[in-house]
Amino acid sequence: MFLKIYKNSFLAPLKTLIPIFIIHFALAIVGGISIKITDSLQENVPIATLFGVISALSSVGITGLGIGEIVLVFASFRKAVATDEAYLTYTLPATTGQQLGARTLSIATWYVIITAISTVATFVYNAFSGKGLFLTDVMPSGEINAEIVWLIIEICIMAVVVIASVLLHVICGILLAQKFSTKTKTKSANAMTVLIGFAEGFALMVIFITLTVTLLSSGNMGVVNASPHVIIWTITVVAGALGGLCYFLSYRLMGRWLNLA
Amino acid sequence: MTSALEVKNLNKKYGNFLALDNVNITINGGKIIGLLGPNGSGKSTFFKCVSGLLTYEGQILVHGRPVGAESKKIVAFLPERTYLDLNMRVCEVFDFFFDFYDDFDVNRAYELLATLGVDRNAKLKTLSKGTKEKVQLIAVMARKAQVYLLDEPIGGVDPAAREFIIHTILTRVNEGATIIISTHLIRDIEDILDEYIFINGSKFISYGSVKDVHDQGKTVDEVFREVFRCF
Repeated sequence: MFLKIYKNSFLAPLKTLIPIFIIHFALAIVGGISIKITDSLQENVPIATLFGVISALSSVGITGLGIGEIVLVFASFRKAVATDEAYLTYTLPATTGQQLGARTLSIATWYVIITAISTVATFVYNAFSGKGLFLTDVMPSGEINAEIVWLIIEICIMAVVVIASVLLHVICGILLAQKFSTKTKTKSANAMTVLIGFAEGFALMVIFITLTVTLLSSGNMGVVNASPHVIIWTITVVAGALGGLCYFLSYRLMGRWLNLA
Repeated sequence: MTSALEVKNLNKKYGNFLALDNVNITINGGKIIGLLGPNGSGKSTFFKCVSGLLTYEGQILVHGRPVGAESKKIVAFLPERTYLDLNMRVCEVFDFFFDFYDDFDVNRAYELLATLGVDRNAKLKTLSKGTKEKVQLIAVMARKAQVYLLDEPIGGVDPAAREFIIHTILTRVNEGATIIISTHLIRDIEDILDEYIFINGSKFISYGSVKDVHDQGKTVDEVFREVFRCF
């Protein structure tokens, strides 16, 4: 039953996402080519400006599509648990653990896919722009030794925990919004709760990204006077605890506290 | 022999509003039962409790199983609203039910679909309201469940559609299964009922045999109007 729910919830947004992925790559190619044309036609100001605008819009489009894709995945989850389709979802012969676990895993799978697609699209953009890949800009500076390797492993563990926590925050936000909407029947309560889930989740993500970039580029914490390992594990534990709390709340909301209007 | 449905001290509150008040009932298998009551009396709430869509106080056993994943394997619930993804095609709906329910008879589903003349590749959103409801009914009735809960299956559809729905219920139900139909269109459904339950103001006020009512020279519709007279 777990695999069936996972398969169905994974496939649900697929038809909508495939054309968006195609547009995503198309924009990357258009953006990259536009930059190349802009650079080669510097003497022709109007044409260079036009292609400069196109490349800028493509960059914004690529970023927007990446965010839009993950929002669509969450929208598909919300459709299954917080709209009339929830009547079908919650009458399936599955336990709460199977429902929540399978749907969370499918969202996580999509997150990995969308991140990979966005990364590849960025590489395509740079490749077509003629500026080459930017990998060297994000590699750690200095000599690679055991300490650096261990730091990278710790950062990877933190990344997985933080991303899982972010996803669980949003899932919990969606389920809380559904709960509030049956009580208050106001769209504002609904929207506010989902936004809180997104905001808290993405705040964690920003902290993680900032920390990672700081560590990789400078090897120390700058303002914060603490060992990088302590900082990493503190964030990992806090994110893990918050994620666990969100999972517990979500489990309750889909199980013992379920009340479909 | 376990009863099809055993309900003890069932209470359901929405905030301070008591939607079901101390419901106690035992329903044996193999019957078609009408759950009859005015709007807001608690019919849908009862169905949702039995289907596992609402939490409640008390005990509900479906063929001896408490409400949960195991009871959902043998309960087929048709809500009063469209609950399928309208972007799905009819064949995808049947594939979905076939995937999740071991008792779903896909051949039976397509047989019923053929009588409607609906293209299996048609998207649900292209179908009329009545046809959508029929497709939903087919998906539910094509299951060989032990308990069917049909919430207002004939409300809001034309007389021809009502006839199709009633005919489907009568001829396609799993042998020995229990069907509970909620409606306030009693005249249309009375001829197929074995028993009736009257519900009003969140209480189950009467449970009896339709034959007994007919033996008294009355119809269930007449008794309903007497019991629920507003003026």
